[in-house]
Amino acid sequence: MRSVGWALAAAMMAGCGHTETHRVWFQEPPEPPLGRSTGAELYLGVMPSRPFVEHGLVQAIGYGEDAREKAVLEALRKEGTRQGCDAVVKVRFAQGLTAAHAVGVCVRWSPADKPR
Amino acid sequence: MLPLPWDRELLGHGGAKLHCVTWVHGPVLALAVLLFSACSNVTSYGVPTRTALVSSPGGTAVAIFATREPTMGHELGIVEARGTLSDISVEVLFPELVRRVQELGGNALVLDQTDARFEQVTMWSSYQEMIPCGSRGFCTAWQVVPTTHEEMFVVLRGRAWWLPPEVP
Repeated sequence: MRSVGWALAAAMMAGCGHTETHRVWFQEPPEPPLGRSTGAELYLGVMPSRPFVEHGLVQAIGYGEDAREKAVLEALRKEGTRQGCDAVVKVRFAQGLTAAHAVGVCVRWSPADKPR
Repeated sequence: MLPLPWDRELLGHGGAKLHCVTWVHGPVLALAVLLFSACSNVTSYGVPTRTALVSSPGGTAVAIFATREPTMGHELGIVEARGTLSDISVEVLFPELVRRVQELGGNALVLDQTDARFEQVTMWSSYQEMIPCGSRGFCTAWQVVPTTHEEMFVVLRGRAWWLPPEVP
């Protein structure tokens, strides 16, 4: 009887997964990304060579089928883009059995260094 | 015949000792659940490593250095905030970390680590079972079983820092 229950639960879980995102600003959120065609860049191991200004932390958590590195980093990048970050730096990723987590620092390139 | 609530122990068919239901179990369990649900899932601390010469008043703005260390001022202590279950978002944990910086008299936070880790947590849960007992009756038995699940812990760690006032 118990194995039937587990099978039913597994069948219900199949195809299920979602990500959630969070953000917090150090002072002010970055300006909205107007007219930008590219998404936010992710920096996991190295820091960008161009100067930047820190704006806050962005976080993505994936559950179920989205508890994977690809899904969570993609959610983090999308959240960074949506919030107006030029890049998310110092990204840390952690993988669990049922969830995955990524967090990084939202930055904007210094005004003098913006591509024209 | 069903056992009376005060019949605590009966011997089942296999000779195992069974604990029958009593009237006290329900309210005690409900109270335990209520107490657990009221608990915060955030823990934090601040450890001073140096005395603040000028203590900043509560609510002072705290400058954040998430990718580099300030070139001026000095370290005051180590701060950490960690959350689990429903309190793993940076919206919850970051203000707690800033509060710890203010407690140590700092006006800046150097954010050293933002990370998550996963732990297997074993909890004991109980459920009721009806078991034939006596000639034609049933006993209600409590079975206690361990259940292991994964819990995520998000940790923010940094250093409280004192920055000298800016010279105009």
